Amino acid sequence: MNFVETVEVHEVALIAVATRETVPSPVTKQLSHFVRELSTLVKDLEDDIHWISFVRRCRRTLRDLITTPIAPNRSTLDVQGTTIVLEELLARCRGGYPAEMIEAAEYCILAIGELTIDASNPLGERTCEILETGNPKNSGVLVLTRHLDATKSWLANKSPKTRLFMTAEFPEMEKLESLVILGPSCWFPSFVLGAPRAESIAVVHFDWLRDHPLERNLLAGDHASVGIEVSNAFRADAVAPLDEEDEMDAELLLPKVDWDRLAKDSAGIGKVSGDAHQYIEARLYLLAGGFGVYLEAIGESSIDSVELEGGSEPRLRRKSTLHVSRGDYVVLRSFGGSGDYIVDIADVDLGRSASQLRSLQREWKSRLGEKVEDLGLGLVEYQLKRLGIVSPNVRYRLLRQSIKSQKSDDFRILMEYIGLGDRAEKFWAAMNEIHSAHIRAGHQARSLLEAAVLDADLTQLRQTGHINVSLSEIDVGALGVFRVEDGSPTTQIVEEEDVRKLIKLEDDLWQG
Amino acid sequence: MDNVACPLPSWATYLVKLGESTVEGPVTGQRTVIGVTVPTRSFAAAFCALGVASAAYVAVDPASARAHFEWLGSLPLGTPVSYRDGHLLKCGNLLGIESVKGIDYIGITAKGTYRRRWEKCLEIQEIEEGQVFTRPRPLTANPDFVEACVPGVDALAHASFTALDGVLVGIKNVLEREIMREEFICPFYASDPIEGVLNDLLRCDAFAANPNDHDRTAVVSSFASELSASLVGSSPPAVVLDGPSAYLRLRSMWKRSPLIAIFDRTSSSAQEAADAFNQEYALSVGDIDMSFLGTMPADFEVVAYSEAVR
Repeated sequence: MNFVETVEVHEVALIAVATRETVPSPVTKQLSHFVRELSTLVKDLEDDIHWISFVRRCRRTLRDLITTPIAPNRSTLDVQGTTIVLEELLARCRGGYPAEMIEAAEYCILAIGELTIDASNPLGERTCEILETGNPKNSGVLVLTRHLDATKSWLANKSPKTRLFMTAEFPEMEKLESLVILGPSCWFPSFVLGAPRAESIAVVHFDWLRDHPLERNLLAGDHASVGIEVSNAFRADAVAPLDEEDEMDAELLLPKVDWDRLAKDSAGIGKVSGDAHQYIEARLYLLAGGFGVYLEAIGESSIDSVELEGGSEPRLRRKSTLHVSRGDYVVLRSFGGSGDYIVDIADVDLGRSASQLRSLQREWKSRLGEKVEDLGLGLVEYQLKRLGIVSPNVRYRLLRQSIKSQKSDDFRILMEYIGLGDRAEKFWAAMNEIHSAHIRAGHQARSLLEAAVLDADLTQLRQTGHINVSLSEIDVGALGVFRVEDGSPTTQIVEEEDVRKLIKLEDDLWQG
Repeated sequence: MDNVACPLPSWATYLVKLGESTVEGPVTGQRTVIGVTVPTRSFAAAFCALGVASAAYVAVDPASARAHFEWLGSLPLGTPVSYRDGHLLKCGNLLGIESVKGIDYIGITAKGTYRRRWEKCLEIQEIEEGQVFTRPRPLTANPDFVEACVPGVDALAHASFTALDGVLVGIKNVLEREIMREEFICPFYASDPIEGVLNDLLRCDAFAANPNDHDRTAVVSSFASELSASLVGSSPPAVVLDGPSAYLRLRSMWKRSPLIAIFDRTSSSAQEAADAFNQEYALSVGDIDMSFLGTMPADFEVVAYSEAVR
């Protein structure tokens, strides 16, 4: 952003106003009413996967309707498919549960059935009305929808010059005259109102949704609020505001990530029968595009990440996996690949000696694994400490990604402990060779990756949260850059094979 | 804007004043920490650093001339040095001290031999190890702009010494764009104003045209894993941290210097950085009232506190 654009952003922040534009929609209101009723009835059945899945699917459908300016009968929203899924789930619940639960669920299905023939698009129409009052070139629509392509097509058809934004693009957004925020403001990051980018902002949502004010200040202490409030200025032709009991609290519809189920569903993905498995402490992350990945929750592991902060050109950094957090962009092998690609590049670099060197690496790990199996991890750690290794970190040493200890003395003690003391020097030299190859591979991959990311479509990366890149000069398969959307609050012990492997997550488990 | 000159907007002048205020009036045993949230990070840290640099600038005291002369005399013969000659920066090698008719001189060999009286030696500086001086060049690219912006300052003297007036931590290529490429004019109302860039005033080491130009502001990457030798253990007059990454990663590098942390509210890690700031604020010695700076821009949040120097 140059100085003039910066001045404009500050000016806009001072003069911006935000109004709420609520839109009646009897069909979605009816659905929201039945979903609320059913949610109340099944609230004590947290362990019943059928009811939970039923409610999640309904909530997801409502959220799609709130965030996507498309008629419900369009195939994009797959309302027909939702009806089938819900009917199947309900069939499994029939018989054992109170009639009022079954009845409430049937009403939900009926309401969704009505959506399949509903060609109206009240949110889209209201958005267009607002956009028509200004210059489309200086206007934008900010969305959270999962159906980005369909929304883009709709906007391109209705107001071709108006730009569509996702929240990740906000920091780079220059001053606009008007901005439509599609959905309740409390679903958006606080900066959409805390650092407004348009003179006139309209928050557009269904009238049966109750929004909440955003906490716009970041710093503690007693100082004035920054940013703007959304005023409830109702249109002259609008129907009277709904009673509170007719409204649905928008916060209740925010996605609830079912970390436990996600973890259960994604464990063992990399299992290959017959292999000896190593286990590692890892954290599950949600990635843009409905993917997930386990990353090592240990201090020694790192991952390539693309830094886009501050409007700079993208830079590639090696980041500790312990410090990966929401909003980061991490580089992983695309779907189907697994593990750290640096290993493959290093093996190419090592040439014909790679197999021999890797076999030595496997040999000492296998010996260490046997020791752990015999004595237990705790005792091996204890004994190695007694022998003089300050941090034996045996669990990490067992992993393929661990090559050697930093100190040669520690490595020699370890080799002696596992009965390879007579060849300790040979092992040390071999592991040094692998280690050097990894460093060279890392440099090579990072410079190629940085160039590939610079050439990539960063708008697409910010909008969709992921892009594919390929490194033509080295054969590591397709790589992807993925935005981290969330991280599990807890860590798990998973098989080493499961780590860094892209998982396609079931939508309802993280969008439910 | 649109080629019409305007005074600096109030948010920019506020940031300059904020930067100045951190350098002035330290309390023994305490330091000032200021958190600022802004709607966009652009130029915020650069203007803060400008305030820091202008408040921290101290013209060299002529009374120190004798001590400096004696220090030069203590250096080994042949030590490479740079020296000011009019508006140029030149280089040579020390030839040692000599006394002529009771007056002390320092000798320098360059293209020929050159003698300078002891009281005029302040601007002779040792060239840092590993740096090579190539050719004579102007001390500063834009002395008129410096003198127009900071009345009373001798622009050539300002450019004749290396100092650590402040540290700016951020993403270098973004800061470079703001500090090196964006042109400003001074005074804005003049019919023939002088153009310049912020670096004319900041003299950032990372953006110096030549390796041994005299710098006054050190620029450190937000992602640096370690500091350069010249910054390790240093206590600059103030440190400006541009963005959440700079704050989260490097705030503990300077434990004695005042800190200004700029948080762009639209950054994905602004909340994380603000949470860390708020935790440290909760442990502070006391609040600092910044109302003496005048009206704070309504799109800013500013929290200032004192903390005990650890």
